[in-house]
This record gives sequence, C-alpha cells and structure tokens, in this order.
Amino acid sequence: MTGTITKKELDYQNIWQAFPLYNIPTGTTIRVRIIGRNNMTTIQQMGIAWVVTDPNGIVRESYSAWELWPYTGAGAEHEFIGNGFPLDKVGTWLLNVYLYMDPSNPTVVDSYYGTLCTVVAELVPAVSEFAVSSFSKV
Amino acid sequence: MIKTPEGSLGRVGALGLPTVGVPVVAPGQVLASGYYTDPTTGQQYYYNAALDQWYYVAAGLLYPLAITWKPSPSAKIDLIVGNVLRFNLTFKYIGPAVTRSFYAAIGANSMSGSFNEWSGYTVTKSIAIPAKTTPTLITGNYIDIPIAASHAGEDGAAYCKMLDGLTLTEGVNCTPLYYNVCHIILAAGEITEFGIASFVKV
Repeated sequence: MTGTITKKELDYQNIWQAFPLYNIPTGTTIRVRIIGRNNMTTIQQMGIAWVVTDPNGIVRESYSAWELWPYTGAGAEHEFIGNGFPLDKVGTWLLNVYLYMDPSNPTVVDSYYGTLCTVVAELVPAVSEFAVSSFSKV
Repeated sequence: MIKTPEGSLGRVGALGLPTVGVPVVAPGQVLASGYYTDPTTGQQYYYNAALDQWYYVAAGLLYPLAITWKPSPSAKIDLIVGNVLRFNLTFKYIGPAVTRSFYAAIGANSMSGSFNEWSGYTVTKSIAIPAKTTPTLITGNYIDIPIAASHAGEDGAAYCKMLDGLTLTEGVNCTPLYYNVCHIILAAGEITEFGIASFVKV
C-alpha cells in the first residue's frame, strides 16, 4: 500500500501555513492539518495518528482518526484537522505523525517526525515617551 | 499644665502611586459627579463635575489626575486658512507590529485645566508601527491638521493621543497638552510681531 503526506500545515493567524514555522509568540492557539494522498489505484480508507510534544517533551495533543464513508479514491486526497492547542511554552515543539490505510490491518504508508514550530516569548506592545517633537507649517 | 506629645512622627515620604491614566469621555457625553469604575482594570475613579476633575481612588483617598500643560516644543507658528499644521511625533516602542489610530487636535490656548478642542481642528490617522524587540525610538510619523476658517485671531494649543484605551496616560498614549503652538491669523489680514527693530538717526 502506498500513500503520501502531501501537506503539513498550521492554522496560524487564520491562515493555513506549511510548517515548521518559527518565532510564533506564546499564547497563540494553533491547529494542525495533515493532508494525505491515496497513491493506490483503488479506493482506500485513510487514517491518521499524531502526537504533538511541547519543549519539555510533554504530549500536548494526541489525535487519531479514520476517515468516514465515502473513502478516498485513487490519486485523491483527504485532510485531517486536529482540535487545536495553545502554544504556552517557549522553545521547539515537535510533531510525530503517521498516515495509515486499511483499518482492518492498519498499515503506515507515510510519516513525519520533526519540528512543528518554535515559540518565543510574547512581545507585549508598550509605548513610552510619547510626545510631539516639533510642530511645523506645511 | 499643658502636656505636649512626646516622640517623633518620623519622616513622611511621598506615596509611591502607580501611573494611572485619566478616563476617556466620549465627546458630548455628560457625566455626573460620582464614583466610576474602569470595567477593564477595576480601577475606581471619582469625577467632580463642577471642577471637571478626575481623581484616582487609592486606600480611600482621592488623588487628582490630569495631563500636564507644557510649552510648545517649537516657536509659535502663524497660520492662515489653507495652511496645514504638522505634528511631528516621537515615542519609544517595544512589541509586535501593530497599527494604531492617532488622534490630534488643536484647541483653546487655556494653558491649564482640561483641553477644549476646536470644532473642525481634529484629525484621526492610522499609523503602522513596526515590530521592535527592544525599546526603540520611533520618529518620522506625523499628523497634519488643515487650518479651517474659524478661530481667526486666536492662539491655539495642541495635543495628540492614541485611541487604544479607556484612560489617557501622559507619555504612554497621550502627549502633554502644548500651549502657544500656533496663532490663527485673521482672514482680513493681521499684523503680528509688530515692533521697531532699531532706531537710527537720519
């Protein structure tokens, strides 16, 4: 059985963006979207499983699902979207994802393990010394 | 025999009050004297309508709040209808890239108390501020106010604020109130700074 993870994206700033993404401020909530393609010549039921870990190695999202009927045709794609979680720790967040086919005999057809994103401390906007430096006639 | 109290009260230092802004009241809104609470911060204020004065409430005591009046950073500028008065802004900023609405106004040159804006002499402008990871001096932004056909013959004061909160804090989202900023020259012509430069024997 063959299949391919064709897109790995984050819902960041209300836009789906390919990850890894860098320097996301803390406090941001994101969702993961994985799109898998059926490389077989027959219809297949696609499945997914992923785990997101924070910079301390703690699991922050564990997601798994099998697609529901109708299944994915030959050469077609199916998307899986997670529930979302807040990026509340500074550092590197990791994703470990497996794309499956055939729930009666689950077979891993593609996988990815690596950086999901890096998170930096949120910058709180602050203004000081606000003044008019000069007035002029124009 | 008169008894005198013994002991020392010690030195009484200034209270270390936090920086508290002056509540923003919408134009035309009339408030009665009384206590008001900022719904965002929970900070309690007292407003004296007769004096048009806000007070900050701390430990049961009232402390007056105000934006200070300061002289214009530039020499007084003579203006006629059709001229434009430019406010050259400066501030320090740290934070992500944001866009803020700035509001500038010219008003009565009262030099004390609240600022009475002149109708037709206000401008709102959006200004994009770039992301800065350290406090950085931002210059080069300005707001222009065109001079209208009113208040001729009067001196004008001016100030600028950011429309981003329920309170105004000088230096944070409001400039000082500047007096002697400009003079609106009468449309029919007006002589200013009239004087004898020198006397010579002829």
